[in-house]
Amino acid sequence: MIDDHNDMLDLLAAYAVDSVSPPERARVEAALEGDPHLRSELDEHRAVLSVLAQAVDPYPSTPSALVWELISAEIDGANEVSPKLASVRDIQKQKRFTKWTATISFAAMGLALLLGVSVFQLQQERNTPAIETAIQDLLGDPSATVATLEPAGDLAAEARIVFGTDGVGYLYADSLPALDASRTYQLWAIVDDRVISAGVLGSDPENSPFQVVGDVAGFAITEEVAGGVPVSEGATVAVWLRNA
Amino acid sequence: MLALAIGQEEAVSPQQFSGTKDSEPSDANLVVAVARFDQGALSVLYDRHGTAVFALARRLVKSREIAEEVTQEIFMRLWNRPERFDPSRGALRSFLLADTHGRSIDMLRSELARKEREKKEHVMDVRHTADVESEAWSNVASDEIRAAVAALSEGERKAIELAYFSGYTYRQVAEALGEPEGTIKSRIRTGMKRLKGQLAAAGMTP
Repeated sequence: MIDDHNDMLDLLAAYAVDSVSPPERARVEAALEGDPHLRSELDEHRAVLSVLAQAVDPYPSTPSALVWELISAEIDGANEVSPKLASVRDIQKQKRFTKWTATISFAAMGLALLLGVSVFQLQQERNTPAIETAIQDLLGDPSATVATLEPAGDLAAEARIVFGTDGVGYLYADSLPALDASRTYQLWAIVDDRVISAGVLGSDPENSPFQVVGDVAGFAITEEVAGGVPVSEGATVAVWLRNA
Repeated sequence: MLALAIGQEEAVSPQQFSGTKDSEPSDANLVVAVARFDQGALSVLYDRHGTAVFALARRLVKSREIAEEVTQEIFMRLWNRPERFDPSRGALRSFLLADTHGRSIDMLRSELARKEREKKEHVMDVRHTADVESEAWSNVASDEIRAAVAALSEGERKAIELAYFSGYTYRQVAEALGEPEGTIKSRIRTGMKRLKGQLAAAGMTP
């Protein structure tokens, strides 16, 4: 048993420097799944290697400016990206699409959130004249999208969102009932294949700005504990799906 | 992983990251913004870590063009899968460099495999590389790190050099150095532990 453990620790060190075979790599990764001590040991190795990697640098040069331009173009979906990167991205998109078309629903939001969610506190600048003006401007913009979130639970909650092509949007929640101070509304967005938090709205939300980058497929508002949550635990109170 | 870490982060506004580089948000906060598809946040992370990523890739693949391709891929991976980074497990720089090393080694091995098919003197190549790589440490500017490397046994140093900086599997290293495979694995591990101890003693706790 001890020998097995020592063998695994030796193999882990070899894994950290990427010098194992594919089957050994799979074996180490399976062991890492259930062993926090092994993960911690790996993290230590990687931290040491990070120091070494930065110290042993015979090439004190920087990547050309073109690298960032290509990354940026890749993100923007422009055509100038290398075929190799484009194919990587296509494969990733395919995998995601398969996974998410089967599972995406707000009922499954809790599970989906485990795949990658962020929580942000929206700026506390609600109902300022600037926001009122911005909302009116967006409502007058023919390229903007107006979404009405319909009640999804027992609560008679309804809210409207307007967002522009740049991803900047506003929730104007004129009919969300005030909650107890220990609770909050939270706004979530489906962007591409992800469900992300678009903001913690507070217990009595009014006009709230947010920004979402990517193709928005839907929004939902849930009721959560005050302060917001990284993974939705509360009830969904209002929903809008673009293709519903 | 990222989701679990979010609760430890200071709440921030998404607008904070769009095109601003003055507020110096933490790497972890920027990765959270990347998870929300904030390209400005990725740009800041690229400015902070792009050179280190590129330098390691170039050190390994020895080609500017391929190193730039690796750099692109590493940052696209961060963009596409930001949840792979768990700030509770270490610095973003370590995470990115581990990714960079893995990707560079993949590329290097395909090139080595191609060469191996073309000629059979691969083991000789490893031996030659071992001599060349010994010079690598002379590029280390930091006295502390030079001292930490000097504390390694010759066997540990060569094992780490060949495996980490030259991309050889521990089996190839064992064959080249005429040592049992288990010995090479152990030397990598004991060498890493010794380096960690030396760096910590020098106040450079990784």
